[in-house]
Amino acid sequence: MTEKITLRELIEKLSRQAGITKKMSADILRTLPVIIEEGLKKDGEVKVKGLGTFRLKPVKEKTGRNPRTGARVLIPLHNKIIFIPERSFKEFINQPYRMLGYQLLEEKSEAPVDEKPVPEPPADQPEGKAAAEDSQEPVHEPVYAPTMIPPEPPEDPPPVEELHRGKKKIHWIIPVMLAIIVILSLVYYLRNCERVEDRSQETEVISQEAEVEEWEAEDEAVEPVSEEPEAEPETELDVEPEAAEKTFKTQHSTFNITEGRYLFRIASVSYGNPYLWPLIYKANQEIITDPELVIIGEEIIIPGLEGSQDRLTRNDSLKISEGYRLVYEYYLAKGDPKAEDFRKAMERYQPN
Amino acid sequence: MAESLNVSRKEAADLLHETTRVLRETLVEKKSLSLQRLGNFRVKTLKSRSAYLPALGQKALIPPRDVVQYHPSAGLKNKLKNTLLP
Repeated sequence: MTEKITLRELIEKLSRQAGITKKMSADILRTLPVIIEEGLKKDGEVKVKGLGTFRLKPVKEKTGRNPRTGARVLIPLHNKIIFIPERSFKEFINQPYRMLGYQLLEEKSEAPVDEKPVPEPPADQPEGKAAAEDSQEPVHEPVYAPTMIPPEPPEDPPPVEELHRGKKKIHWIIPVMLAIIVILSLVYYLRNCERVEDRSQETEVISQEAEVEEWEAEDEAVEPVSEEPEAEPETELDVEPEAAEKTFKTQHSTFNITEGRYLFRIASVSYGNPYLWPLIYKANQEIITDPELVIIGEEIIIPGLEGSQDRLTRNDSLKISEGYRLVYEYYLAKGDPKAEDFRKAMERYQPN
Repeated sequence: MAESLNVSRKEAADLLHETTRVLRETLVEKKSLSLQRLGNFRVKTLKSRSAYLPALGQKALIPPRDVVQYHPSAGLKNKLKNTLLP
């Protein structure tokens, strides 16, 4: 369906348009991805003017199934790369449709549909054909077809058959509309519920996640402890975060670690930005030694931010940078190649 | 970019501008394009459909539109899988 442009064509096009050598344009097309990759590694986000934003997005761990064997496997927490085209690019791509707007369904819509009713009235025979054509149309656009028939009657008495069919369609459409409205409101209600639960009752989510966690051998060793703290956090969480979390934690607070809470996820809940987790790591150095392993039942400190996650103050950045430095040192000592990424992140958060 | 291509910053900015223009123009012709190490881009056309618009509080016909899809290359995906995560 879509034609693919070869790299050579692309290079030629670029060299022609920019007035540069082919070698140069090949170099550009080769370095661009490298630059984007570097940026993603360092900042987790790259904006290319004229195109859009490339961003890393964390995906929670989840259980998947091997499509061939049906065996359950744990898909660990990982990043995915997303691309969001910038506004001007979107508009550029959509140029062919820029004259089109939303159309309410009560009105007649789209030229080809409008034209059809005109040839209908004059002769009797074509009507059968027109009706046949009309009956095909609802297959493509079933929802608005019936609504566009009613406007006709005042002009010309339409064939009885058609009117009858129109009526039928209307009868059929009412329950469907009702059903859609009911479903929409249900979805909306459920989503609201979820949001409330997310905020106040972390434990609900945790208990669901518990199943997932069982797949991790690491956690199994620590699991027995989880029975006790289950009761505590519910009261604790209700009192504290309810008020604080709306502003995404501006003050210090504590967090009682329950099952399935990685620093990453705690940061995501507390700050609204999972990548700020080294901040928590830094504040709890005495308790947490391994950033990949937090002990269930432990109470950790969640340091507050002076600004917000979008607008970090100088002090915030400094603290995050410090946090990343600790993480970097930890992985460096372990000889883990991840260390390099954390060093870059550390540099990034350094003010100036 | 200026560093890796050995040109001045201004030149690099111009070149980047030209590059993005070429990429955009290619995509607007509905051709898919792939850049090594980065991934594939392609344009997909969404058919017009009717949907409920909360802003209008009514069902409306939404005109067809094109969207740009990006599929990262396998190599890049794997490389960035665990970046910045504990």
